[in-house]
Amino acid sequence: MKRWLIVIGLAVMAGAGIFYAERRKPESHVGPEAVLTAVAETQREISRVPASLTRLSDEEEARIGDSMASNYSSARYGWQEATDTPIEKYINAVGHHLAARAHRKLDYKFHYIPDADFVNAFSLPGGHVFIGKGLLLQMDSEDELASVLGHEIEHIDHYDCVEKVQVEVRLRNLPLSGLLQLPIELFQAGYGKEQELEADRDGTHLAVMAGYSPQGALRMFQVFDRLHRQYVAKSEGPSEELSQVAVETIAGYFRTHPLPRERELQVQDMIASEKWPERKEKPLRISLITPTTEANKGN
Amino acid sequence: MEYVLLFFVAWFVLCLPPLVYALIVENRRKDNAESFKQEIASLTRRIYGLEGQLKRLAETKLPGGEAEKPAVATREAVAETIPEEKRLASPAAGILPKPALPPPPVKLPEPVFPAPPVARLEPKVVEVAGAPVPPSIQPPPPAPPPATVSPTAITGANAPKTQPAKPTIAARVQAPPPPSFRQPAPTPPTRYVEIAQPKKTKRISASLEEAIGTNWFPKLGITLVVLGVAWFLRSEWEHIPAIGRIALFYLVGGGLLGAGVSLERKENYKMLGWALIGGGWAITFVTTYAAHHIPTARVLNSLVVDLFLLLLVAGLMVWHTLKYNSQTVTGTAFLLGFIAVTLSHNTAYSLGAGLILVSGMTIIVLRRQWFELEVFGILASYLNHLYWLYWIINPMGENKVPFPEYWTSVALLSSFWLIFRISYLLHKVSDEKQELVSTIAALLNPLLFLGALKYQAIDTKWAFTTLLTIGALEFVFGQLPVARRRRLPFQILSSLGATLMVAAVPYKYSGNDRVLLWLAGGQAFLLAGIFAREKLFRWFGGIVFFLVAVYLLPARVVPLAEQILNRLPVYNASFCIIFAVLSVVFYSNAHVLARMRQDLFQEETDKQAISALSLFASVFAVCAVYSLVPTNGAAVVLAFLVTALSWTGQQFGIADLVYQAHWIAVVAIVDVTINGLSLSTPWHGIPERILTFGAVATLLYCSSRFVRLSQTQVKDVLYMVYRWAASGLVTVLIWKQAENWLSAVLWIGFALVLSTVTQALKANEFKWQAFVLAMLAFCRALLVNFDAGGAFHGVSYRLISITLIAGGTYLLVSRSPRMRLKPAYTCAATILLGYLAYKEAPDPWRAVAWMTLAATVAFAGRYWKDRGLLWQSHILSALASAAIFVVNFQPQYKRSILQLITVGIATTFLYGLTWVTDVAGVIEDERISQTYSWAASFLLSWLMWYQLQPISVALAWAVFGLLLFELGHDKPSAYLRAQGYVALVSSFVRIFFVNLNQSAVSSWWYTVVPLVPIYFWVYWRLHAKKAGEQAIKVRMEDVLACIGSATVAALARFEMPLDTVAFGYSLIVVALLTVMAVTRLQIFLFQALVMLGVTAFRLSMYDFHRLHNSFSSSVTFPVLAILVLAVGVPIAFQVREPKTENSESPGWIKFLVRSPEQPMFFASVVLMAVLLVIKLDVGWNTLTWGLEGLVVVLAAFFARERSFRLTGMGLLLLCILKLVCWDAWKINDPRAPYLSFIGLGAFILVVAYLFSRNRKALRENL
Repeated sequence: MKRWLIVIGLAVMAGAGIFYAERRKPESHVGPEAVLTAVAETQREISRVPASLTRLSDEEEARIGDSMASNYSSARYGWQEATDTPIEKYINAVGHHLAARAHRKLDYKFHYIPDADFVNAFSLPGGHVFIGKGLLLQMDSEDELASVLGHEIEHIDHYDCVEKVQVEVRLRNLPLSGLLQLPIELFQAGYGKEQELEADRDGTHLAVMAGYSPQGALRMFQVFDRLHRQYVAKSEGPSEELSQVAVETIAGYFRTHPLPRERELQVQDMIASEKWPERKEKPLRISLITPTTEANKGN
Repeated sequence: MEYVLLFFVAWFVLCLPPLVYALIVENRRKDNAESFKQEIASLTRRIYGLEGQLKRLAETKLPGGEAEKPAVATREAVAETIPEEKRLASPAAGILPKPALPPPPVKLPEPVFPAPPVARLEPKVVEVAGAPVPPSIQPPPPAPPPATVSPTAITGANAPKTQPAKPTIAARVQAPPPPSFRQPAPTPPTRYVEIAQPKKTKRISASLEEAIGTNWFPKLGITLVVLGVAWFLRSEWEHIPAIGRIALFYLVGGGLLGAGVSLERKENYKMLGWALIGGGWAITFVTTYAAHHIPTARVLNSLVVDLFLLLLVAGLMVWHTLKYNSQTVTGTAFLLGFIAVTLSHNTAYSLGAGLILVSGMTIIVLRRQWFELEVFGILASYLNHLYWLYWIINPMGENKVPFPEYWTSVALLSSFWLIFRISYLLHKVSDEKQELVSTIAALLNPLLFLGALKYQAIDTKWAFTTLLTIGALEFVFGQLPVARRRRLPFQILSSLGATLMVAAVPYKYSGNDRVLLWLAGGQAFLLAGIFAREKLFRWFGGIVFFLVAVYLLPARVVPLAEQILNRLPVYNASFCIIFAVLSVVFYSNAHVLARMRQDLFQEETDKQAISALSLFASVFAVCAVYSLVPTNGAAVVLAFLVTALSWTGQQFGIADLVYQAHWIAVVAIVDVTINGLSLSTPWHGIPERILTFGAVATLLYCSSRFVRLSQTQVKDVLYMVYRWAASGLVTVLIWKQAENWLSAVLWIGFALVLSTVTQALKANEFKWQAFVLAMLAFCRALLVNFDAGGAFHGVSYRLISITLIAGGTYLLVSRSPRMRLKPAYTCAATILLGYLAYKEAPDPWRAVAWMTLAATVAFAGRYWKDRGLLWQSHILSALASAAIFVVNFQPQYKRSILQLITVGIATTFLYGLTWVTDVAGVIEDERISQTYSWAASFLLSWLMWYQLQPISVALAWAVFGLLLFELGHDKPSAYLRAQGYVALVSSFVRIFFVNLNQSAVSSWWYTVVPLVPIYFWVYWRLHAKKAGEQAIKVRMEDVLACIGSATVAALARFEMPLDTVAFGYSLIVVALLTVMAVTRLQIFLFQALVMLGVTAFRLSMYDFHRLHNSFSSSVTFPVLAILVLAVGVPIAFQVREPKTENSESPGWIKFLVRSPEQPMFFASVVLMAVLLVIKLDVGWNTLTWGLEGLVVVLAAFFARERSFRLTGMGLLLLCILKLVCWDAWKINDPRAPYLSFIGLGAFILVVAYLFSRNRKALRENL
């Protein structure tokens, strides 16, 4: 009898949980992110010691990064880098303002990709940061731009970028020409969940230290969350769940990004714990991007 | 240039192949002769050796007058002279085989075997056996059986091939000192083997070497001489007058000839001499040729004179080479003669020289029996002639015209043919090989002769006469007494003659005339063969008959068949007559004439020929029928023919007729199937189709009786085939005559009739036919009746027909031909009903309908204990389950009541079928019925997946698993418990894909946390009763304990902030240790240790790394985590189990169980030390290390743990070293040095004090 009472108790407890979940209907995302994150981060943690022992010098990293950036700019996209355009100057000004407070003292360069469909930003070894027009069009303030650039600077600061080419250089002795053959998508795809969250945290720190408001980062993640809801499919049943898990397991091993909502909550926690003062956000100099920005945003 | 080309062509075409062949034959002959000679010499030496040894043996052994006995003593006599014990002591004496002869080269010197005499005797015997077996040992052992004799000794004794090369062996055998009887010989058998092996190889290599040195080198050398002369001439040609050149060549040729003749007389230079002779004659011949044909060396202007000289040289060559009795050399000479003819035949008369050559060669062939040379002569003469014809005929192209030498050529060819034919008749062969070569020549002769005549023929009108004449001549030659001396010439020439005469007919006659002429000729040959009792003539007749048949097949039969297949009119009275005549003649010859003279047709080949003839007769009979009878009646007439043949065959015991009836029956069946199906007109009101099918079927039923009563092979099978065919025709008739939906029903009715007939006629095959009909009805119902439209009084034809078919099928179950086929009937009926349900039931209820049918079938199977029905239930249930997955879980039914009800009903049925299908003795494996339970549980789990929110599914599965486990625990039922385990593990896996992804939403506390107590409850239940039940081999209790703890760890990993994960892990470590301390369950100790490793890894690889280069890092939680681990050390002391002795565990596990505090302690100390290095500047971290060392030492004293103490001391020492060697030079902070030094010194003093104070305790502890 006692046994059955315990069983009934457990069943009631679980039933209550089920009932509560059914009533509340919390948003659920089905996928292998948790497992992939654990595996990827464990792998990264295992490789920390070898990565530290085979670290490239700043000069080597800068040389490699310069070549990759030049190659990417000219060969892949067919456009020549124009550092003297107003938008380039503007991005560089904001970026250098942030980079001055980074741990690593590199010659940071900030590049603008004039492609409205490129809603992304990424960094290359040696201090090269690229940001797409598509992403700029989603911004309202310079603080949002600073949070994005700070995020990318921190990827460089944490050696996330250079570790992607480090193995090729140190272990396989790949020459520079060989490194240039590495797909740029390797860097565009981003990093592991913890690396991204860490870059979010330190990037926000960097922006705040440079005088920007942390609200910029918050608003940026809200935009990402909106885009995520818009474009990421939601599974409706076991079969869809299984296929989604299978697909994401295959495709998402190296791209275990945290959910935008999770990133947003992390920044909110930081704001609360660090007690950062409230600052007014600086307006983004939209006119430098495109005169029809508002119209595009409306779409 | 033309002559040069001609020369090379003639060389390659004519000379090379025969020369190569002759060389091979000659070499083979020489090798055989040499080998034979060596064997003879070897055997002779052995005999002499044996005689000598026996003589010495007799002299030594026998005293006085006994030594005067004959020298050649028998083996038995020798054996008798040896004392019994000595004979037994000698293995060689026991194994000496009868054919084993003493090695001839072994000369036995007297000093080798000194006295005593007996002692000398045995080594001799050993050597006679060919194996140096050690002499007998004192005391002599018992007689060894032959099987135990040293294999080496046997090898030596039984290896006569190794004995010709014995000198080397003999030397080795004799080399050692004489064997002593007190000392065993130093392993002579082994040495013997070692010697014998390389000797064999050496012999092979020596043989090859000899072949190269004595055979190929001379030839190659002379070839080089000739080439050198040619090269010299090419260089110095212009400076030598023509007569000088010719003289020079003759000189060289003569010199070579002289040298060759001289050397040939010496045995060692025989081959070289032959080669020089050949080369000398070749140069002489070429020089003679050049005297006219090469302009720069021309000294003769007359071609005839040159031809004469060439033939003279060739004749001399032949005459000379005959002295050496070598077919190769003489053949080479003749070859050169033919080349001369080839080069010189500007007119046909010059070819006459070839005739002379052929005549001469034929005489040599007959005298020397060189039949290979005759083959070469035939080839050379005819090809030579063809080459001459080529230059005449080829320019004419397609339009050949008469040429002046036509009749001369014919005469020449005829002469060749006649000469070779006479030669063949006069051959006296002495062995099979010669007969074979002779036969080749006999066949080549007419072949090339006719080929040449054909090549030069300008009109085909002479072909008939020519073939007939030559055929008649060959036939007459075959009948001559000289040909009949040997059987083969008679056979070959008669066959050739008959063949040529038969082949001549088509050149003059055609069509039916040709057939009838052949038929008459064949019949004449056959009758002549019968009356003359000459088998060959009978065979000629048979061959002509087959020729007629083979001719008619493509000429008449195949076109007739094509017409029939294309449904064209085939009526032709003349053809019918021809076929009928042929059929009658063939049948008469095969079964009347042959039966009348059975003594002439006793051989197996004769019987086979008669059978073939009879078969052709049947073919022609069928052709006659088709040529005369209209399409709608042919099958019936053929069926009558079948009946007649089978009756005749059965009455007179002629198996061939019965066999022919079989294939004609096949034709009749195919005909009625193809043509009868298209018949649609009535005959006196009755459809013709019914008449033809009925008549053929009836006749086939009748024929089956005659076939059954006949004495043919496999009659027991074939008569059934007839009945099958007849029933098949009825089946086809029903199919074509009845309406679509009705034919399957009628088939079932026909099947019932057949099965009833089975009872009356006791013919079991009708049961089988009924079975096939039922299956056909089943297939047709599937294909046709389910789509049948229309209704009968409101009831659809589909329902009526399917019900009737299914009912009839169920009725046929009791009349199944085999017990094991009963399931086929029930399966068919069940499938029909299942498919009916599929058609009639709405989509969501289809699975329920099937499940109902499955339950019904299962109940029936349980009642009648019918295994087949139970399996049908299984299949239906599986289909229903699949249908649920495919249909009921479609998106439109998601979270609907309909889905809940239908899946719920299906699940209930499945759980119920677990009991219904569990019939002991019918279903052997109880796991089959348990599968239902698995399916039901799976469906329910799947239903939960659909009905609940994704985040609730894991919890629902866990509850479901808990209930299944409890039910299985109570019954007890292993499979239910296993299902519970699967559900629990699945719930655990699922949280990683859903619940732990919800980092942004705090739902873990009500969706994941409740899982933990469930897992641990099941673990606890298993642990409490594990001694009683071990149904699941895997230690599920450990698995569940692990996933319970893993769930908590996963919560820490995924739900806590990243900086605090390690802290969470450390708390889990302490908690697990605590549980271990309370419950004494070792599994928790292992989990704690694993978590300790995870914690250390997380701290070192994540937290410490972040502390190094992150803005947002905090040292708080790493420090807390380390402190918590340190707190766990005292608890770890509590859970030590020093008495644990698990012999199966590795040593390191035993250590961890005995001393869990060690990893806890060292992990804490090391992690703290690293943390201090990371977080503090140089100098300060040394100081803190000192403090840590002090604390460690204190703890060590408190815990009385030596390893702790040593660690603290080591840490302090390291601090000293670091401070002196590193910090002193690197510290930037001005305060740090002295603080470090002072602080560290203080710490060390305290430690020193502690040691002094507790010295006694330390000694005890140590």
